[in-house]
Amino acid sequence: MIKVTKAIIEECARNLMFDLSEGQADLILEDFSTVMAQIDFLKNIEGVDEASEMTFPYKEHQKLLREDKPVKPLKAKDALNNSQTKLGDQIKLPKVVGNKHDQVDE
Amino acid sequence: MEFEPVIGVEIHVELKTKSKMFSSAPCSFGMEPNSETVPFDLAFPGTLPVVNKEAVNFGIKICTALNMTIDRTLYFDRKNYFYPDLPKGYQITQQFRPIGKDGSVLITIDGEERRIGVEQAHLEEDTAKQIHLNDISLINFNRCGTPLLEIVSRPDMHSGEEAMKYVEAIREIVTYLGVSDGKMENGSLRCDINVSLRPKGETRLGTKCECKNLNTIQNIRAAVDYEIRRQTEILLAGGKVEQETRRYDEANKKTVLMRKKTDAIDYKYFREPNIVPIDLDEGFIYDCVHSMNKLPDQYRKELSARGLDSYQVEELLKDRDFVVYFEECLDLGVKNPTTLWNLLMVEILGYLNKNSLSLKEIKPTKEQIVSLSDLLSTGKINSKQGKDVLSEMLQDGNDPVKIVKERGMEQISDSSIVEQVVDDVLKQNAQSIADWQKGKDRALGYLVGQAMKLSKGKVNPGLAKEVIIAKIGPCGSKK
Repeated sequence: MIKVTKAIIEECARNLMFDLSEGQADLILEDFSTVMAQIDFLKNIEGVDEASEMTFPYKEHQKLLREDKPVKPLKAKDALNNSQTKLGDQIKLPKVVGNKHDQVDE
Repeated sequence: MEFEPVIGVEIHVELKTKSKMFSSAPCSFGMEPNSETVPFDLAFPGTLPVVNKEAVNFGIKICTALNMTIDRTLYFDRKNYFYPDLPKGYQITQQFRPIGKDGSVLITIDGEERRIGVEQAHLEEDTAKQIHLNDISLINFNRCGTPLLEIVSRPDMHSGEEAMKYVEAIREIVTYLGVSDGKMENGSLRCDINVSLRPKGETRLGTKCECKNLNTIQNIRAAVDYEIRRQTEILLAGGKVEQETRRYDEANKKTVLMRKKTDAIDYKYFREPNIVPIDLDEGFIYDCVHSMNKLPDQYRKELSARGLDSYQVEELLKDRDFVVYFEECLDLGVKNPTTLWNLLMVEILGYLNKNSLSLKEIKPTKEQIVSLSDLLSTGKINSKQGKDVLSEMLQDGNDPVKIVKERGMEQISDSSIVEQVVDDVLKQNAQSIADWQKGKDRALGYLVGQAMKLSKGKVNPGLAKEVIIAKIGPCGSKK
């Protein structure tokens, strides 16, 4: 397992498009040390690799599917009010064409 | 060295539901931007996904048409990524348990059938539509959450034509099922094509390039063929194909680099915790499968059995409305399917195109169209009269039998009456008879025309022709 360093945390922040202050990076690093220690502890439990994720604590399936009946949507004006920046009836952002992302809708 | 192209296709089919995949927001094409959202689509805290029953129904129909095994339990997963086209920060998809797997679709290349494997089909949500301008991006969330079925082929194709035929077959199936518009130009059917080359005989796959922006069926063939040529040139020059995402530049008829794939993206998939596994009721699956529309291949078989040639069948299949209409007319007991085909695909289609109408908008009933077809095929009226009758029917919706009667159009097919008319014509046209007997075959048309003129267009021209030849002998008999 890789060792989480301050440089890695800063790179992750850049990839997620935000900047960290000096103190914030240190705080996250400290949190990571705790988390990584827990992971190390779990790794040493016998048979842990064979265990499957416990997304649902109870084995409870359901049959509910929603009927295809549309409801009244938000007014465009109200939807747009969630964004600080808009242009006409669209939300405006700094250009976000990524280099790595597969889903870029160009 | 000879190379073998290997092609795999991923198709995103937008499902034609009234509401979104996991929210009850309406979803339709061409609405005012950002006017079709509910808080879930904008990732408001506390909102939860609920699976759309109709999307599952449509998914099951497509999977069944593609001969896939349906998973009886629905599981969803999160594909995590940070990008403004999905404000939740993840897309809900079916990474680990697709709704359908291990299917196939039949295509025909140069008259030979080929079966293309379909690895899996999974339900997921679409992303928001973006427009990228010089230094800003604009986001419209209307499309965000629209149900999609992603269909992933096996890498079984080896040419642009095969890829094109495969996409065409899928598009035909989803439109015939009525589960998607299948309009590539509107983005309701989008495909990404992976192309790689390997030396002939090699089993390992070469480095692939992914082609995007293929918004017409024809562009698929053009893009794949270009990509095969490009990669061949690189390999023959001793170079290495780099893993890239490319788009098709229609104006310059070539693929151009969008981005290089330097490393694989880790989407940190995990099971969607907000949707507990959903057991699909056997009765529900039965209803989905047994309410499926007839598929194009079934129509092909049935129409061929009714005597239509492959050209006629394919022309009909281009528009499901026409094939359904044609089939309903057959069910009404039309006497000659070919005559009906000509009426529908030549005369009526021409009228619809000229007047920008759809088949549902014409005035005559199917019974009246069948009646007109029968009048033509039994020789009661000739094709010219048929056009006149149809014209009145389309104009006023009048009954063809009534029109024929009122206009005194009924064709004379009584041979004794036809013989009388022919005798009169022959008496007055000795020169044409001589010309015919000397070998001028155009004289026969003139004589038939005279018979039509004398009978005011009522005489059956085919019968008149036969009687004339019987009376004056074969062409060139006195050369």
